[in-house]
Amino acid sequence: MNKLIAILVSLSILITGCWDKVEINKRIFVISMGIDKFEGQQFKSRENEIFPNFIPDRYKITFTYPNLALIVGDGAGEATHKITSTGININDIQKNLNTHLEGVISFDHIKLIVLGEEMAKDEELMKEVLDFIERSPEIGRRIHLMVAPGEAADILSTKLPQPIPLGLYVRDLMNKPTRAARSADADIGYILRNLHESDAAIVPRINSSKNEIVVAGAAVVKNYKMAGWLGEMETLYLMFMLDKVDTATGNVIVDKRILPILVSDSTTKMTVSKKEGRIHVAFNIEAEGSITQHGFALVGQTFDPKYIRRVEKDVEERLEKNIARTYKIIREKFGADLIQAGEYLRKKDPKVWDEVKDNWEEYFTKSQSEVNVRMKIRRVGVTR
Amino acid sequence: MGFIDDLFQKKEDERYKIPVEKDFKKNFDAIKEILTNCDDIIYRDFNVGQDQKMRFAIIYAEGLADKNLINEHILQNLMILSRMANMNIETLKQKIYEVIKDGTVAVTDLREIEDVNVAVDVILSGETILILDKWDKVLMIATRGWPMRSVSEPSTETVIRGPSEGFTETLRVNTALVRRRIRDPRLKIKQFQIGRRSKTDVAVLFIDEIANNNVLRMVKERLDKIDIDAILESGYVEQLIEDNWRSPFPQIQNTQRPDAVAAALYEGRIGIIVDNTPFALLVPSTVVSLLQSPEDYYERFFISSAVRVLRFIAMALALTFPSLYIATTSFHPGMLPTDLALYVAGTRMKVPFPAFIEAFLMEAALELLREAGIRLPVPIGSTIGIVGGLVLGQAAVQAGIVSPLMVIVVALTAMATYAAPSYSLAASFRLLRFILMALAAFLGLYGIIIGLFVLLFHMCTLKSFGVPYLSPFAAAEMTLGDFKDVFLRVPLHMMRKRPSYLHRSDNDRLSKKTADIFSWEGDRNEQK
Amino acid sequence: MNRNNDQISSAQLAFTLAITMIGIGILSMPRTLVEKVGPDALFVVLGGIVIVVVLAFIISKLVTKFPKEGIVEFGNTLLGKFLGTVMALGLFAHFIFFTAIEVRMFGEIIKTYLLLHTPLEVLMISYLLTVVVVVRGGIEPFARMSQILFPIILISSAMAILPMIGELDFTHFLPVFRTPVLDLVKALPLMIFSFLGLELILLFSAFVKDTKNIAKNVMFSAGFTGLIYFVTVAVTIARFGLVETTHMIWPGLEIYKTIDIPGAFIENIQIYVLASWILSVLMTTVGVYYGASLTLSRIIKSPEQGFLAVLMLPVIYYLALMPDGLLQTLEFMDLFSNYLGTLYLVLVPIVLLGMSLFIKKKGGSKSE
Repeated sequence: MNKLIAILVSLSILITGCWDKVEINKRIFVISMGIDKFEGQQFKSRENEIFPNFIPDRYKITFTYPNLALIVGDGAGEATHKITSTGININDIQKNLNTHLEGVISFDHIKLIVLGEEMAKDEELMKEVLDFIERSPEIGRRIHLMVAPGEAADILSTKLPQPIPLGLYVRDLMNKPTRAARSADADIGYILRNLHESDAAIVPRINSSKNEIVVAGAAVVKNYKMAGWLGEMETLYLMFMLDKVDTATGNVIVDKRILPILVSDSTTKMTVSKKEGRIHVAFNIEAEGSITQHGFALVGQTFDPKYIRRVEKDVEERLEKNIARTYKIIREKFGADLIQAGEYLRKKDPKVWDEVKDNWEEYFTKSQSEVNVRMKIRRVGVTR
Repeated sequence: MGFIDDLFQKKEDERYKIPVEKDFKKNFDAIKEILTNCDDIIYRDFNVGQDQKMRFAIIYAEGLADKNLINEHILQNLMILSRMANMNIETLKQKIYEVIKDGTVAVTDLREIEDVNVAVDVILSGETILILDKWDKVLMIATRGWPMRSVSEPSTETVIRGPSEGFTETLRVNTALVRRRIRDPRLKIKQFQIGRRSKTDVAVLFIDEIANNNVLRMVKERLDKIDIDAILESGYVEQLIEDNWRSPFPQIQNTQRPDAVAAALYEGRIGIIVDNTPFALLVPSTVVSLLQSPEDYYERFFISSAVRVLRFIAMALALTFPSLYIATTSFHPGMLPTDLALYVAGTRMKVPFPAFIEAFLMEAALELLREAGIRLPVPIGSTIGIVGGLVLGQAAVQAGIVSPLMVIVVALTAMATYAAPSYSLAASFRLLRFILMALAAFLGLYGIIIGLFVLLFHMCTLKSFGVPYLSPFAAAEMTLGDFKDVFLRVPLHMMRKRPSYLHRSDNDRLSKKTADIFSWEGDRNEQK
Repeated sequence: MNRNNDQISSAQLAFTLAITMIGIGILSMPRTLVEKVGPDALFVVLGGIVIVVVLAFIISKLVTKFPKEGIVEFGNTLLGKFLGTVMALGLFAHFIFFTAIEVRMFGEIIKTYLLLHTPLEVLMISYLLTVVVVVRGGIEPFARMSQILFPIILISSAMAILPMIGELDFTHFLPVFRTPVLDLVKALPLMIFSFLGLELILLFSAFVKDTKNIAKNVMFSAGFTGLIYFVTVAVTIARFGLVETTHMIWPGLEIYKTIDIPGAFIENIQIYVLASWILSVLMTTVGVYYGASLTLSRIIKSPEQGFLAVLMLPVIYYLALMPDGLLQTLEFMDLFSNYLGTLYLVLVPIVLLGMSLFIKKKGGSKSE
């Protein structure tokens, strides 16, 4: 008898249950999201007069979700559907969109979040967005957060040459093994961690022309708002400082001949110390590379150790100079501790950190840098 | 020895005993009366001796007894050859019965019977009864012999490497098949009858000193408790002696392969062979033993181990794959990689049902297909497979009722299910799959976990003849040695002991000598 | 042949204890530790392990003095009938609260990560029913389940950590020993309460066949659980850094969000880890719930432990529904572990051991 009751109860639960059940084809998988600041005209409606304590819309958010029919191979049209809406905050917009869309919005597979430049420069909004990302149980920590010059919505409107959702395109672009170091290597996890630990982080820059996407350069975020841009080359040298270079190419001029050097392996050791009242940051870089091109019919030169040493020296000098310049820009223009020197001190030299931590920004802007590069050219291709 | 003798003590026949009397006529009539209206019983009375004064009769069941044998070795001897004997010789007269028994009937097995009821029983088993004049016993002559299926390859449990002999419907042939593999006097075959009316022969096989006495006692006790009118198949015995009838899991292994029975006996398990069926029972059995195939031991250990691992994966798939499909598609699409999730969503776009209904329909269709395929004659059976599998599947996908991925899931699950060497285990998995599917449709992944958790609990409570069903995983004293034959099948020379969870006195399987010198590489003899 | 019911080996006892100790706490432990002591969290873990192993030794010393007896029985012998019963009732309450908190926390976590819209009540009832089914089975199936599930949970979680190893940054543990020693000591109880569940030896020892091996196995069990905690804390902090670890409610779970295995069949490893975590918490709750029902059945000397377990279900369900939200649940949890936890994990065993030594001496002098 007891069993019968138990079975009946569980059956009734079974039949009435399924609260969370949403079929996969009834979900709208937001793949990329663009967040812009909204300062347009407030819509004066009758209800706003009834409820005078309304909060004005602050965000303009663009969601793109894939055209599923196209993915399976039957159907035509755009690779993604796009929907834009304004609202007070992201959750508000998400709820608003429920009146527009037949499916349930899901962030499970979001791959790219693009912030508009104006939005990123607003501390209040930036904090809200970052918290939304961190707090959401759905959004993973390996997705990409990027800043776009201009409007994020424009980026999401880009028509890519292949019919593939933008978010997936960017994911593949960022994850390929030969990714150029000119785009900042930073996913959301990294950005959040650095913002927590050092109050400064770089966010990759995404740019678009008519049907092209470029991820290069970076935005500097300091004190939870965007402070400015780093160009492609600056980003590259910053990546050298952060020991995040997998491959990079550079050109040197030796004997008036332009040689492309492929840096294939580079490790950076950063040491921070305090000397004579100033912070002293030293980068020791060891890099390996190869010559991928040399002059035609110049047999033997690449087999000459002295010549190779000259090439190496030239690379070293160029790198040292350029990195030092980049460092100067970072500390003077932004005053942002992007290289996590403060964190280094806190961990390795807590005594010094206790002295400087209160005026850390000042110390950092006045800090000195020293760059030592050891370049080794290991390979010269298959001709002598 | 005493233990076994005690255990298998002959019980007194509870029926009213009808003693055989000295009067020929009385005995003859008594049997005839019991077997009245049994038209397949042949009575043949005849006179014996020079002067034809002695009256004998033989009674047998037609079709069960070997007629040739009766004609040539009983009737001919008694009726024709005996005339040459001089019946007047005094000694012969007194010892007529001894003479007939020891000198005349040229048949291997003879027995004296004092009870008419017993005589009837043996007639119905195919033996011949010889009634002699003025003797208070009747003579049973072993004449069993009926047309039977010859030993052939079993239809289930086929192997590539290994003997292709399978059990037949005749108990004696089956025990012989086992005995051929175990020429040890300690292989005991104890035989008795179960079934008030059917009187089916049941033989319990075990190797003394290897088999565990507790299990043996349990087997005997439970068999003794069976009081049923008829045993038609070993399935009757299985269901009547298993530990927990509520469990979906088979707690007794059945096999058609004599080598599997022999291997089990060597492991210390006990075999039960029932007459009239080619399926022998093996107790105690565990999940692991149900997932082993005799072939595992015949092939080299690399491939066997790989197949074992594959089989465990197949079982996990068979149990959970459709429910995981439901959980991922209708509850947690985040579990899938993005590209796959989008693809699944795309293929399901036109599907009018929720994933649970879709999965349920397809799984039910598969079960239907399987059932239909078994019932139909072989040539049509394959047609059903093609019609059901290809045409129906294809049509369902094209019509958009079912997503192509669902078809893949169902097909994979079906394949995984039939990778189990034990049909009964696979059958129980098929059933449990549906329950897990319902739970997944209710609570997603959490439902599946709850289901598996309760299932595991059930398996943990289950015992097969005192041995935990999940041995060796959950034994009180875990021994590493027992795991040599679970996920992997280690090389034979490393399996020196029998599985410890069966607890027995003689535990050595492979002598240390063989194990120690086991590297035939660089064998000196080779160099010569 | 395991024919006798209600008997387990001391190795099985070790498994049941380990799987009971690892439960809710492991998910939030890195956060609470970092909040208190910053980069020195690992030393607190180590200190906690040492203390708990010693505690395990004390408790097993106590129970080995009374083979085949649980705390209810030897509590009565040592404390006298009245005090013994009061102590046992307290223990019962301790287990009941423990179960209720586990159930509630479980519901909250599942609702956050897995089933966002399913009512908490449904989650909790289905969970409690599952637990009760197993609790009614008695100690033997529970021990066997621990034996099977513990390696499964351990291996699956360890496998999930593997892809992270390359990206761990152990400089987050620098600087070493800059936290005031007092803070370290203050953080120790926090660590010890992660081992709540260990007090179940007081009950389960009655079932153990080989009493003499209890101490060895239980200490190993506590040590091994400590090791698991150690690895969890180490990996979490090394991955997230100090600040971010303190930002998350359950960093032990969030950590798996940072894994990305491109091209693998599974993407969101977090859900799979959550699945194995559910199994672990189920076992914890079964252990504690079983402890509660066992204590009660021993107190009222009723063999109907399974039936009592069913009767307790509504009480636990009601208790679990009491907190308003996650925040209050966490508060209740702190309160609970501070008082009842200290009492039954630390004080009671030590006092009882002292008493038993004292009484033994007295008894010894009497007889001679």
